[in-house]
Amino acid sequence: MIPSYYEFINSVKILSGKNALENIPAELRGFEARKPILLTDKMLVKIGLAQQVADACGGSEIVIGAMYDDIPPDSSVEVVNDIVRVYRETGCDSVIAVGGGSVIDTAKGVCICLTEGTDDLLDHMGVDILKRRKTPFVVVPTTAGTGSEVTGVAVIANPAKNVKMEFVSANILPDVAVLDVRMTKSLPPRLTASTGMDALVHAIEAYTCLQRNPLSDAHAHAAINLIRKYLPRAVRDGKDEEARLAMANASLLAGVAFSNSMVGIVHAVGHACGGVLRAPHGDCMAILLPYGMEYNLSAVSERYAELLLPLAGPEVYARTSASQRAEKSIETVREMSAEYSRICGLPTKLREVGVKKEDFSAIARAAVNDGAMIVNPVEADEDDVLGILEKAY
Amino acid sequence: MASAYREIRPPAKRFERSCVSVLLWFVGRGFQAAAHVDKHVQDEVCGWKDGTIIAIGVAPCGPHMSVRKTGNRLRFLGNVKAPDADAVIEFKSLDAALLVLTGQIGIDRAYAEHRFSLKGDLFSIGMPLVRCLYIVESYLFPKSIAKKILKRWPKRSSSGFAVYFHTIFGV
Ligand SMILES: [Fe+2]
Repeated sequence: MIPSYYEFINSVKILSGKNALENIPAELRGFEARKPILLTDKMLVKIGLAQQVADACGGSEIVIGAMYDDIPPDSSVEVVNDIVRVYRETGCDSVIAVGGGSVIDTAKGVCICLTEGTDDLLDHMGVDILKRRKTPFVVVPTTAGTGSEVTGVAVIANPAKNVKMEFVSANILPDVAVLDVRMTKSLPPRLTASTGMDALVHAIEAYTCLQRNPLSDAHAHAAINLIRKYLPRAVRDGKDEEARLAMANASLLAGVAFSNSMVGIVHAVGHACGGVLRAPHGDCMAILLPYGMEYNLSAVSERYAELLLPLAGPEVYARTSASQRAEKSIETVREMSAEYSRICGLPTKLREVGVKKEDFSAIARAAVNDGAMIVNPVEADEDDVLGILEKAY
Repeated sequence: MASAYREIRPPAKRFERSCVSVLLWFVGRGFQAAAHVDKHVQDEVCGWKDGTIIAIGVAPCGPHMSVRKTGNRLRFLGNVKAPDADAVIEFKSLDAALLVLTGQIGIDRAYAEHRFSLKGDLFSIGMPLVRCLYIVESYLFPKSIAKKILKRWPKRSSSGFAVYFHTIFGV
């Protein structure tokens, strides 16, 4: 079925594969930029990834104006403002973000401040209200899961005002995404599995949300195919470069899908668990996915049936009768979680990530206020979320 | 030398503008009325800080309407775009506004189709506002239309008659 109307954008140029990092100077040259600020976190500096990106710019006119590594796991407005100060002080002219979701979200916040000429992000939160970004912006993801390198979404905390600021706009999409296996090779198996499951949730939710369209469908489908084939390999052997590159691509494809189709109830509840208890995002995704799918089953069973092909492969798809395929998809997802739980201890229940029953009502309240709820195919109120939490506990 | 080309001004669409204006008046007054008589709308509105202002309209300078939360009431401020609004929903065109305001598509569909922008806090104002509008729609639209555009029939505690009465005669 084709939607009566939809919009789709992915304006990000993608560099994927061997020595992709070495092409960053050429991309910056295209924007007449020569002094990027490099945003990253302390861990990535420690294991040498940040330096590797800087080194890849060697032998060119590029100068790293500053390497800012003081970015915490939760992007916050103080950090964004501090980076903007350093950027101006050091006369930088572009941004390179090297990291996972929080570094990339922080970098998006920095770009918003620089473009809008403001130091108060509060005035700019919302959907589709940002001006076209002016700062050249290159992203090098170091996990394969968030897809942030191709999403027009950023979430930044404002602890002083107690606001979780959301920015949704195609105008914060980066210019260039660089997928280089050197960046994800050192990810330990447990984190590889949990970020990979996050990518899987992005693709499945994108394929079934109200905002889905033929282009986001194609991206989601391709992402799930790659995840089925390569996530087990990447988890078992981190040095498997083909698997790492495939997973980086899968994460990106799922990112393009959900940036255009949005995510649904699994993310709404997962964000709430993360917000209330700081439960790790990927873990929450892996735990909640089958329960979210069960909740939505009545409205999108046909879509789930279609997904059995990329999820389980052609043999299983052909062997399963049409009326059983949707349930079989949910079962397949359960088996995947169980498998990674055996291999590397990925949690399968909420109680394993520190969620307690007394937190349920706070989580449910936060979940229904998450933007992802709008486009979920089935409406959900606090009681419905409590039902999901109970089952996933 | 004068150019051989001259400007073409697309039509002003005065009729559509007036329709949107009238429909926005109904939404504003209907919202005010629903917050007065329906407990579920009240519960959502109660979460907002006192003085919170919400504006809905057509970008950039089409018709608008605004409401303000005062105490446990919602006050309709008229067909204006309050300059100090905490949240602003703006349809991208008159056409988009008509699609939603005449019940051809629901709020969630409109969001999915990028028919409007939202300035402000999605989490604490936007989402409760969306749920309020679901309820307001269920009162103001004929049931056959409302059922078609709502994912699920919302919990309500009043009657269409009460909401219509207070929409027309005020609260
Ligand atoms: Fe996610």
